[in-house]
Amino acid sequence: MIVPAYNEAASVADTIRSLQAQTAPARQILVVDDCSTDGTGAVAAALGVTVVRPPANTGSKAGAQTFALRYVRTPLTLALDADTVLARDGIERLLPAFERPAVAAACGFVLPQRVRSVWERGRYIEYLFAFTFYKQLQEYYGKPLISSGCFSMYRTELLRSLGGWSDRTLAEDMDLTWSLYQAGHDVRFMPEAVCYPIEPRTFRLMRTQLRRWSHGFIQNVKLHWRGVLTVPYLRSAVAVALWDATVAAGLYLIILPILAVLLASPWVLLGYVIDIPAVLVPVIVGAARRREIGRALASMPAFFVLRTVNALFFLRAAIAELLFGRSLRVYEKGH
Amino acid sequence: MTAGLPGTGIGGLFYVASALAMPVREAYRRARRRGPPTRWRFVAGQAGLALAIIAAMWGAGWLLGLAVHAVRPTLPFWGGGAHAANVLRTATLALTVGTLAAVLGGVEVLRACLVWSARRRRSTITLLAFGVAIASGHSAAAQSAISGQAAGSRDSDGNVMFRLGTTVDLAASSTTRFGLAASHARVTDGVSAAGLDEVALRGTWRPRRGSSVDVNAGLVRAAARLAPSGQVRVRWRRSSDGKGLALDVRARRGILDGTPQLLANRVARSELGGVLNVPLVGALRIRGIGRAAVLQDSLESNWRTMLGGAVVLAVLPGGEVSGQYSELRHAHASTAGYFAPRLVQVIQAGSYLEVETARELALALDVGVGVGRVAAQGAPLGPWRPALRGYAMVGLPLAGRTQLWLEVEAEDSPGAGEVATTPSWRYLSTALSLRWPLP
Repeated sequence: MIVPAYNEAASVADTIRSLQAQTAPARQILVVDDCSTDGTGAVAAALGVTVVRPPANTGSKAGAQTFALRYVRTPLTLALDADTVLARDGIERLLPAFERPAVAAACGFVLPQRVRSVWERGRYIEYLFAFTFYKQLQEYYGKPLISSGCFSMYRTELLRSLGGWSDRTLAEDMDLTWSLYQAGHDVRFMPEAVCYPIEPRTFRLMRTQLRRWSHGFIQNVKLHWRGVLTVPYLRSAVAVALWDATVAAGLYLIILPILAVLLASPWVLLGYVIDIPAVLVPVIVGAARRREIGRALASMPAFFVLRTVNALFFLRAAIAELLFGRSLRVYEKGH
Repeated sequence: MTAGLPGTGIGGLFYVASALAMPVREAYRRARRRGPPTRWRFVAGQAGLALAIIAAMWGAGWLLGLAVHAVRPTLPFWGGGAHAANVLRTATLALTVGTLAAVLGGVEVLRACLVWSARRRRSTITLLAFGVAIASGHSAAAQSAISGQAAGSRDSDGNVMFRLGTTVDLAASSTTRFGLAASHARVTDGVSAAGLDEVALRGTWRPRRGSSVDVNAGLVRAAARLAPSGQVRVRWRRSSDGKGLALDVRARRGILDGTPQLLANRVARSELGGVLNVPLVGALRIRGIGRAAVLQDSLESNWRTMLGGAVVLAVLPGGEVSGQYSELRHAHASTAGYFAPRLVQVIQAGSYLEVETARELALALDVGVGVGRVAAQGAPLGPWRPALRGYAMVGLPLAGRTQLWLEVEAEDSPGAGEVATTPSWRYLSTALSLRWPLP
């Protein structure tokens, strides 16, 4: 199990303890201390796991994980973010995905560890919605859009043959998932395997993460579009996601306010929340399974705030990457 | 991470459709004995979720309709009758479904162009056109049409273009149309020649007279490579008599096709522009025009911006005279094949007339006369010289509701043309098209 960590002293202990408490225990836990300055390596070593340290900071999560891949001695490799804890049966629930030889990677259900600030609440609803509805459908059609980087398991030899995680884009998990599809492998989503990452609690952290995600998505579309076209369902899902991240985001941010002004009617702004019922249905279903309906309802307004910010970042990334050819290359750690 | 924006755009509809297709797919898989046998509960759960989403949205639409109906007198744009709320709901749904169909269809066309053989490519385009026709329904077929167009142009540098195209235009309702357009163009300068192929899915929504949304997305093939092309145009008028505030916004992307050199260099233009008409007193109004474009080829990017303003006087129903000033700027010179001066200034007096008779004879005439001057990059403005433009269009009704359209366009204006190649560039083009209504 690889846990890439850069200045994660505050959270890495919880991550390691959750791995050590698994119902299907890990044979090897490798923490990659990517030249942290806050004593992350010492915290991890004190818990009895193997700590490896590259000679210099690798500059990205992909770099840190790939560095650690050479130390892996197991047929399956689990990558887990250093700010993420697993449900006790997380790994046990993920392992059945690999009963089929064609499966190269598997990921689980993601839910925020803390749901307090507006950003964490927005993300909570986003995840409930996406993992209860979108991702389940992607799994049914055999093409989860991404094997989430915060918690995914891979066949080690296959991972090595692809050179590990690439840092050619800012979304290494998407890059790897789409590469696996193009090579003819399967990826699974196992909703019973749950993980809990720490989501950005402030706008500053959220901004960093959204910049990375939005640019990473567009970079992957630019990199893989020809290959993705050969993968059924994935090509439709990617096209729809690209449309929503670019054109729909533009309509959402620009056209609605303009129409409201031109028509001199604030009623037009109802467009921002008109889909509350559509969002609410999967969210309530997902929350009910966890007996968190109250928390979900209280978090709904935050979702619309986050969605607007999301639209802004995706639109900006699309303009920068597609129109001006300005590719974001520096990996900034958010959460 | 989740790409896209959950709940917005076409993503929600795509996944609802995916969920509703699950029972059918699962039944087929069971019949063919494929896949694990324990999926029915999951399939039913997800399909049920999709149905609940549809029901929730229907309920929200119904409530919105009631609310809008109740406050209708306070809504300035609400000119509809008792069924206006239904029209709004239906139009929104039609636009979203149409957009999703266009995006998914576009992906399949792209895949067909890249992956499949030429024979299969033709089959896919035919099937897509057939699919659009079926989806549009036989009730709307009476308003649908197929058009053929032949066009030619020649400019002062000896570039000659000939274009053949066809369009299938299908009316989904009285306000919504979908279609497929394909064309092939050949450009020669007497020494070299180049071709340009275009295929695009089109959609138009006209909620009322004078207001429309046109969406056009497709692919263009030039110099043996494919590139995306498309256009989104929103036209809005506050009042249907054409006298009030009006806005025309257009975003488009395409390949410049005036010369073989432009096509060989695959110069792509991404442009956003708009025209705003503001009524002043009586028949007098002012017009603001702005466009910004990025011209890109494999070696460079260049910005082109155009700003203009006009004072317009409506003199007849469908007619106007105007005085217009415009400035065109390029960020830097280019070797890609288009003329990129530092500044072009044009002052023109113009007139525009649009007439349609009871017998469906249509006529449009646009003439502009004035002066213009050019400043090359790093040089001062040159002398003023004549700047002329003209456009005429005639639509003739033929037997069986077939229509014949003839368009002629000419320009002699310093550097102001879209694909001008020299400061003294002139060109003339004609286009003839026939539009047959589908039975």
